[in-house]
Amino acid sequence: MNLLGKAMGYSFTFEDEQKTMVQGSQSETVPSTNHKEEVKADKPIVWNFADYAKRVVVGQDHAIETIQKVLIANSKLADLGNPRRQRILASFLFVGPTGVGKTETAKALAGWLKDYGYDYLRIDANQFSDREAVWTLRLERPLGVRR
Amino acid sequence: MDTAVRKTLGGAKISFGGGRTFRITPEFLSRIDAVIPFRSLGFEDLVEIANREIRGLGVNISYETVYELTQKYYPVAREYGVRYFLKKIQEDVLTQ
Repeated sequence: MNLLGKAMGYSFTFEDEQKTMVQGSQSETVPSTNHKEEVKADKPIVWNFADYAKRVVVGQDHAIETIQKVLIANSKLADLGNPRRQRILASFLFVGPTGVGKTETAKALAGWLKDYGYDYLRIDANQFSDREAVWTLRLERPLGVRR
Repeated sequence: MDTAVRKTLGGAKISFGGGRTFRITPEFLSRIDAVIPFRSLGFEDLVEIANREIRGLGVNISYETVYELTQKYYPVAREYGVRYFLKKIQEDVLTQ
């Protein structure tokens, strides 16, 4: 979403809103409970995301470390059986001026997770900022909505 | 840091075109695990980015040249953002 926001007293700009929802692919990783453990034992997640992302994104070490921390904590919650965490691993809101690496960080996270058998779906919300564009996600216009 | 950003965002109103607005509610923010502020890039970061970009083009130039190019286009980066800054540097390097 290209967000032009106006706060209470002063005006400021959210250039970009990235809400990255990371979701495990059901078909590949969790066909059955027995198999799930096999997959896990086969390839345990080594949380070296920060090392990887710091090579890709310049100058945002603090942001990357925060992401890594949240991911580790949430994946532990998922392992403990937290149903919300098993469905959506984490959701982030990246805030900052344009061209500082928000999209690059999201791309790096998606690329890194791909190595662990997670699927990712990229919805660039920039393209869906008006109501008409949202219909392209649903393929057809819902009933009762005026054009 | 996270809490400070949340405080700034809380209650902020985002206006899309056509008079449509979205108010960032506490309910929305509490469903987000982490609000991550990205800092704006300094001069050293720009040198590093320019360096990578030029290496990616397969051009071999010295670090000093990259430094000078960054100095030359630093005002551009400040005013028009990093993407335009990189474009300018690419033009310079490729037309040398």
